[in-house]
Amino acid sequence: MVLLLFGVTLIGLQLGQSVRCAQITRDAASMFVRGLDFTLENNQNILVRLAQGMGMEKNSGKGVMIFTKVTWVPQAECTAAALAPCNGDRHVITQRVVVGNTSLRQSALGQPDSVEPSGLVLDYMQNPTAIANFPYMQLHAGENAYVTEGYFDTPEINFPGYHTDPGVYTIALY
Amino acid sequence: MKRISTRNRKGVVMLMFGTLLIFVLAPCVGLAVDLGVAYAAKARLQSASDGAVIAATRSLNRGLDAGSRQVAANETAQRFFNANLQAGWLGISNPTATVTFPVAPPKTTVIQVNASIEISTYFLRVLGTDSMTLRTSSGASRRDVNIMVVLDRSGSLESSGSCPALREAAKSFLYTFQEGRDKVGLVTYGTSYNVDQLLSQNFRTGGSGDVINVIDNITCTGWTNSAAALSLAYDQLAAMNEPGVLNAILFFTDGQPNTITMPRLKIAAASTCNSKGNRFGVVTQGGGIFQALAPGPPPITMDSLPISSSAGCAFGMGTDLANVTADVESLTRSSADGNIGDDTGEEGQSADGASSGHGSGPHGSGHRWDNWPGDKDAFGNSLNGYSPVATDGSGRITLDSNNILNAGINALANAGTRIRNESAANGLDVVIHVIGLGNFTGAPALDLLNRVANSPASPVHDPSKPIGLMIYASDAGELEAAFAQVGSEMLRLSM
Repeated sequence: MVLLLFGVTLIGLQLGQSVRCAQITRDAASMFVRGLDFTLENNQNILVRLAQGMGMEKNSGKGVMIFTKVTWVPQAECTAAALAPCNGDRHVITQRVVVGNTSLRQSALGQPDSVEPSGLVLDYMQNPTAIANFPYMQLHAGENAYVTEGYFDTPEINFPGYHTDPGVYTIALY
Repeated sequence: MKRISTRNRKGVVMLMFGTLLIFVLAPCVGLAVDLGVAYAAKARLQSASDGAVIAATRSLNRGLDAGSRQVAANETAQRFFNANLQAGWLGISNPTATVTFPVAPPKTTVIQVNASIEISTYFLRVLGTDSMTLRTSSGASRRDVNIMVVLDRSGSLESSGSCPALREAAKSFLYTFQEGRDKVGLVTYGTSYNVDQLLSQNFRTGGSGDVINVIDNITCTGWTNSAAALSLAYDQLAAMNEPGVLNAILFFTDGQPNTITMPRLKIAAASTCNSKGNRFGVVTQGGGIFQALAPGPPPITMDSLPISSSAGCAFGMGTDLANVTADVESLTRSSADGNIGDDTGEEGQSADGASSGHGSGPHGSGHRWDNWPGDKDAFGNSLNGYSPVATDGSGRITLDSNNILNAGINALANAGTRIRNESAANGLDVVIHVIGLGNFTGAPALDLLNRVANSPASPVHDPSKPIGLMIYASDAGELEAAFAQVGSEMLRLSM
């Protein structure tokens, strides 16, 4: 009986945090897809307010939001531009902005190594680190996917030996 | 009366607790767990349907007619919905998204996604409920757009090697609009300015004359006649006069406006020109072209050659400013010069046509240029403002390099303000988005571009008027993203 109540409490807390994470990520994704620039401090403040209660700060805290814009590079574009090597027929990351505690979690889509302060990924046509791990769907040429990942650490439901490294993660593709 | 023993009373407690556990506590726990899971699944479902409807609305540009647009929207919605909802997560099954296109207000497209999933229950199945069906609905609308794209094609773009990148970025941008619904037009400018494409719904299928082909053939040469180009773009939107749509201008430049378009340059008495009358002219920091007065600002399409009507004048492009100053006394006239000069011009061109259709400037009761304010360019933009211009003793704006630059800067800033004020009055509410490219000496000042866009960073920001984006690309490689950002802003998806 005690175990049952313990389990229910744990599941309830985890579900509650999952729901909050999903809602925050959804709201952030809606803003990202409309072109809100999360490199700007004022817009980062909006995110922090949105995640109030989850302990996220602009550059630290218990949460991180990762914004990624993905597009498809047709081989024909590489050929037309005479680029070699080229990320032809690959999904690539063209924009990456991270708000919050970057050490908590990395993006599941990949880590481009040449991101400008504006979030733009330099040379995404040729840079191999810009290739996205994007198993979710096949984009058309010229089509973009605005991907928002949210991760929040939840140490309050850490039960050593039973439920460790707790955290809730949501990905939204708009 | 028979007494119940203590041992028997303990048994009753056990029985009551067992009954409570089976019929009250376990169902409550089950309900809490299953409803919690359902709540989490519904949050995910809502996010998936939102993503689907937004992506579907964004994909409307892929179709060339209503039928193919709906097919594209449906296919996109399904892809994004399924990508957001991986089957199996939290026992989710049968994810379904239905895309509909409800009747929309005029000039608007509305898309709705009705989504559902089934989730398996963990505890409630004891009570006979094996699964639950969850449903959500998301809607998005997109206003039709009338947009004039204004592209700088001055020589600095060629010098910096940015012209090809500009062409590609502009074409990608145009592909975000809907053929057959949105109206797209194009003005390009260097020293000259011209409407290369009138506002048209067939901007991608118009054959050799469509916008894409025109952009492919842009060559970058000449100076930077920004205010005239921006004003000309607004004239097209004003002439179309469709208040129900999103009216917008995308203005691109890589340089300070170093050219000014004047309706009545004052020709000096000592000029070698055959006729000494006042003339319409385009003056740059390195020369100029001019022609006879016309009913309205005529299309100026030549960047490198003097117009043949400049008979006898030293005035011409490809020369230096000294040749202009030999013929032209000042950029503007004073009241002492009288209102009407040689309005027929050297070629005897008709001077009639008070109502030219260029509705932006002050019109006289007779000739368009009668009583034209001395401090305004040919489109009605004031030459005064935050950059100082020098005048002579009679109040004329004198002709020198600094004055041309500063008058050009003022005219551009004032053009933005004038367009917003006039379009607010006629219900068009034109929003001006600005992209600046800063990879060349003489790059446009951020302050100026912010003023043109009425961005929040502008020192004269007016929150009561349409607020545009101002995006500054530090090199040509950022142009594609800059144009895309404006495209995202302009889609104006709402949920």
